[in-house]
Amino acid sequence: MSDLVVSCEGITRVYADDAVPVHALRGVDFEVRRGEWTSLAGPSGSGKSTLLHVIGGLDRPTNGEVNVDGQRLGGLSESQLSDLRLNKIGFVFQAYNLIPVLTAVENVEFIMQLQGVGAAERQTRARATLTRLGLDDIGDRRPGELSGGQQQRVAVARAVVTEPVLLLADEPSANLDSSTTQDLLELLRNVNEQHGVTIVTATHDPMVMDYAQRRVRLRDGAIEHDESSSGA
Amino acid sequence: MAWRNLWRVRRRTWLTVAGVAFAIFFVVFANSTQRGTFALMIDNATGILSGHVQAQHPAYQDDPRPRNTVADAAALRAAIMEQPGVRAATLRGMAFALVSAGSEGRERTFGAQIIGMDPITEFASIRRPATGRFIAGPGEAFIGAGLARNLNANAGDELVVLGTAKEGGVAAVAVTLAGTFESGMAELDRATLALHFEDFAEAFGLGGEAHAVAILADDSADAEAVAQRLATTLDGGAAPVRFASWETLQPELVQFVELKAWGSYLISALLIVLVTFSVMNAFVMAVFERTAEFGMLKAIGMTPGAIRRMLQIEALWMSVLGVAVGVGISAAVIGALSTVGFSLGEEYSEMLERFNLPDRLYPAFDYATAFGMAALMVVAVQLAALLPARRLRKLNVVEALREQE
Repeated sequence: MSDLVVSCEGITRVYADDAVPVHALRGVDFEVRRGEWTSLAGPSGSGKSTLLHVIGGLDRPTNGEVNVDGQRLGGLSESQLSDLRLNKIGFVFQAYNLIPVLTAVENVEFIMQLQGVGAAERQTRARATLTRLGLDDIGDRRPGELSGGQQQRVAVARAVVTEPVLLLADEPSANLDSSTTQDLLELLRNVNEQHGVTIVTATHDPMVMDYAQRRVRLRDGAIEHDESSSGA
Repeated sequence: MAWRNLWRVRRRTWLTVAGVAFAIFFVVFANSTQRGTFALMIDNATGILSGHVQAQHPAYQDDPRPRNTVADAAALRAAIMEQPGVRAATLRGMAFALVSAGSEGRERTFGAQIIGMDPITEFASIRRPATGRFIAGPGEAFIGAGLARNLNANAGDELVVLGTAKEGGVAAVAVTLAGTFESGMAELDRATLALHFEDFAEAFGLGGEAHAVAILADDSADAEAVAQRLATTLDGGAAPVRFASWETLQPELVQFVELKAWGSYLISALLIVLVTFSVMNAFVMAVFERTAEFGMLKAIGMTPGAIRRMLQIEALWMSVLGVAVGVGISAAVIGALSTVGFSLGEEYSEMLERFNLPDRLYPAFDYATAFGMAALMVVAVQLAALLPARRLRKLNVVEALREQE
């Protein structure tokens, strides 16, 4: 098994929809090692979210090559990309994006349902994940009955329940206060350290950056600074 | 999940369900009323005189001359009565003749269709008297109220019938007026005289023959089948005979029923199209509102096909709900009205009378239309959901997710 979970070579992403082409990424070379928590930082428009989307197969680069867990994304069809996201990548979004008509435990179960896991096993694993993340008391509540922090923690549970090789989180703390952010980051650290899940976050939030072992600063679509630390 | 998704915007779901239910109720109610009315109309139109089926000489329909008779008519009638699906059968003699009434010098004469009827077996609704009574035996006549007015004749007056017999001789008979009828058809009332079949046979020289054996089937809808069965079973008898259903005997009635039915189909089709568009609108709205969610579902690995299937299942639930409500209401309303009936009001009574219909309509639940509409609405709603669902294929995940940020 390769030590690299993510490998990007010469990634460019140009949005040519408007009259003036927008260069969101300009030849980015970027790697993430297994078990690493990397934080992509930078001002708005720096390209951090675009890079995250390209790594997650949600967006295709204009040029360059992306590999996730040894799979070259450029050669995959839309349905193969869906399959890769379903089985290897967990997503945490800024707006939580839980399914409003499902309870917390059903939201966590849902992704396993897509994988074709049987109902009994789904429920057992979903409950176990919520318990592990300290969320067992809110399993039967719907998103509308949960606070923002609780919703984001359920979103993390949904993202990790399938034991993905990579967790991508785009501005996960943007809608949370500092105390809730701290709880969320502790949860992510637990997922990263105890369960060995590789994490890449895109954030403005210094707290998130502090928790990450590695901080990659982008500016104008290029990597400006790449720095490792032992974390907060 | 699809079922729960339906209830995100309850009002919209109920409105869509109501649209489907209304379309089903409207079409089923209209067809059930029409079905009941048509059956009544056919029964009335055929019941006045012709019956559902007639056994005639093969040439009589196109060439109704007195000599085109059915031989051994009484035996044929007896054989017909033994067949399944036959409720009644009666002998008829038919001819055109002059009818006179009044004393010498004040005599009035009019042309009329003369019908020989057997008062024991006769089922025609014209036998219900408006004045006097129906013929009870030989020597009596029963005429339309219009003809009675023209002849200035009343019950008890003597009438003289003068026509051409079967073989070309003079057919003459004097009868006493027993009563008059009002069929609701002025033409019939002005020019019809019924006399006893024995008098007719003797005057017109029929012997044991008749011009027709008029038959009532158990159900007017089965008339054609009964005619075919009789033709198959009783073919090969002593004399040539043809069995014609009311569809053949009264093609104008068939055309009228078909015209009304096509009008109803057209309105139903328009209604289905309207409901389909309203359902499509509801789904387009739902897809727009849930763009971010669909983006998230695609992001976490749900394929566009799976999302589309989820929407189709939502559409299925919606249509099943609409069908259940629509068929339920239709069954309840039509079930109640089938016994008590309903009136269309004064202004329609004249039209109904023209078709010899009662002033109250009694709908009969039309199962075929109910099942057909249910299936049609399920398919229509599926098609309506298909178009917005197809948009999902082009959904840009990144843009969809940004909508909520």
